[in-house]
Amino acid sequence: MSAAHVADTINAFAIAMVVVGVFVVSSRWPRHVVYLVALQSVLLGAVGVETAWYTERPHLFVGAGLIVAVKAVLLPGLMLVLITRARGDAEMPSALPRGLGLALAVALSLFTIETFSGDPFQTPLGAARALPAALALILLGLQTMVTRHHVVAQITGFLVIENGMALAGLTATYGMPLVIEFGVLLDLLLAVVVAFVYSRRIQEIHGDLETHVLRELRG
Amino acid sequence: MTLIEVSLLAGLAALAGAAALTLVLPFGRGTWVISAAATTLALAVIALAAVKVSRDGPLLAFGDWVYIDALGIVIASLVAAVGLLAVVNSLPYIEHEVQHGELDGRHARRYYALVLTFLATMFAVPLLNNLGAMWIAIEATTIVSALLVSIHRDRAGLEAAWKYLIIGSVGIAFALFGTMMTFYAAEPVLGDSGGALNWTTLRAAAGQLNPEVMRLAFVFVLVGYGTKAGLAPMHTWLPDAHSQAPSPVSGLLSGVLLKCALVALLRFGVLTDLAVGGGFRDNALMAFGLASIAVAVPFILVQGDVKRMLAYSSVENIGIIALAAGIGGPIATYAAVLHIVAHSLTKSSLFFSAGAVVQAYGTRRLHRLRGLARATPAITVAFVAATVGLSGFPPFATFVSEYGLISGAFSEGRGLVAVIGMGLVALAAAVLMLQVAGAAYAERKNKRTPGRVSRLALGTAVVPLLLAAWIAFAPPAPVRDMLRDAAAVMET
Repeated sequence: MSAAHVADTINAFAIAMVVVGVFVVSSRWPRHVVYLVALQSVLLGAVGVETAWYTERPHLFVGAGLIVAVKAVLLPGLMLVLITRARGDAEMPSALPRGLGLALAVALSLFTIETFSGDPFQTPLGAARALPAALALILLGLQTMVTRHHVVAQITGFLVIENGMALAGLTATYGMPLVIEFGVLLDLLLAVVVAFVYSRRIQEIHGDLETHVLRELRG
Repeated sequence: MTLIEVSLLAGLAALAGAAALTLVLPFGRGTWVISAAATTLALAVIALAAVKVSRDGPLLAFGDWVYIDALGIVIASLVAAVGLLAVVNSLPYIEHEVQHGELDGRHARRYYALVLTFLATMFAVPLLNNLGAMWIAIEATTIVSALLVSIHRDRAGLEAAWKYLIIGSVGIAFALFGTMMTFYAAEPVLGDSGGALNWTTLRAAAGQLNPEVMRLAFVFVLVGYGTKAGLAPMHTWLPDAHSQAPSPVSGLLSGVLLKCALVALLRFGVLTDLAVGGGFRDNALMAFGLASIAVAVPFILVQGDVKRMLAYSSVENIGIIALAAGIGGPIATYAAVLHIVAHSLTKSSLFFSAGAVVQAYGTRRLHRLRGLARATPAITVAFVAATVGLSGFPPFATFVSEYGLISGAFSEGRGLVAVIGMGLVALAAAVLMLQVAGAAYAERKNKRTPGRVSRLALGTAVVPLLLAAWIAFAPPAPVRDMLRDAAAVMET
């Protein structure tokens, strides 16, 4: 496989991650966003595997494996359990009308990718779209967290941001040393587990998984 | 293995072992004794390391994973000292909560286990050399302390903990991105070994790091660790979390956790200043510092909840430290370090006495606390003294640090910024004292007889105040040198 070919596939994976991210922002149902974020993490794992294989860095295979195990299997699995136990299959609220949210997400992604696809943002492998895509993912994750006041959307939004950052890290620096990556994933896992515990309590107190009820503390 | 490595491991093992024991054994005074013993041992370990560092200079341990310099020692000592005071303060606090049915035995045990774990994670932050590992430790502090914020299992605690966990995690995800970018900048210079993330290695090679990349990296780290340190406008989670936590934990959060995040930020700041130059770091720190001071003032003024008021005051004080660090130069940087120490000790004292008052009167509303001085004079004196101590009056430490900030600013040609900043600080101090004086000396309306304030709670409020005054006005030579060395770490 030539370098140009590798760069093309990484670009394709990165853009696919952004498309999935757009669906995360605008999706109606909690289970759907969980599936979407799992798919996005698999795509991220694929970028990792390809980079590992092409640059002959075996530790990246382990890193990619960890990403898939934690972000595509373990965390989505936990969230599905949460949704089932909390009977949280109701439609998730959105602060913006759905069409507008979708349009905003698309515009945000296109604008970011177009604006930052210049030379200074090339990765070492020449994948020009990877870093802009990472930035777009961070913005999409933030949009999800700001406009969708639902426990599942908050957690997946955070994971989308994380995926964006991991994509940037993976393509720009071939990841950080493995022990650090491992620690980061462990922290991520623990944070989501704690969020999971809180979600159960939010559901116990309020009867659903919507977070806009959490607004008593002000000023 | 060196003596320091053995003792660090022993301290860590003591904290972890004690945390496990408190979970297994039935709840009682024994839970507290175990926790206090482990925390005392941790304090001894840090004291030993401090002696070693003050004699032989900075040292590396466990390969190059741990780096103990003066700045790290200052922060770790504060964690140890305030940690021990918080654990001591927890005895009367938690007993009261258990007696009044606010906590059951199971959650009281969990409380002590979490406090010990929280302390262990905070010790790691200033002592880890690898910036990635430091990030992991900081995220771990968020997870553990969020569980402490919600220990009461009420709605407000849940809301505060949720916001803290979510905003804190997203915030420091940005810091992780900044850390990655630093690694990206370092790789061409240092190769892709773990060394490219070690602060000591990066510090030595900082002049060769790509300035454009480092500039961007610092922006992400500033937003990320700035969120965790409570710098405005990323501070929105702080008043909720710090006011809803059990008071001894509020003391830890405001007193030392904010400083752990701030030190991480300042360490990146050193690298950035060396790589980018041109006052980029200084201007960024001064801007966020001023914003934090300015944002806090109106909220302190209108605040009706005593712990929320103290939490906003922490935003202001973190602003003062950032401002002093941004002004730079030997005097203002020293002032920044001294203010870190002063605020840690004074604010934890305030939260400890506020906690005792809140328990005695059964309310956090300032207007319902009116007339404290008549009914509970001793703790009121401590509370008022700590407020005065926080407001920049002699004989308290903030007087020296704020005076240092101003004189340092003029000698660096940044007088205007300091005048604006200190004008706002004076306003905040006046407002805070007005609020506290109202609670202490206004005519009493609440006719309920207050509960008893324990001597132990009073002691934990008084000791840090005396310590702060002593360190500021008559520091023993080794302490003074340590503070000066800590300031030197931040200078470039």
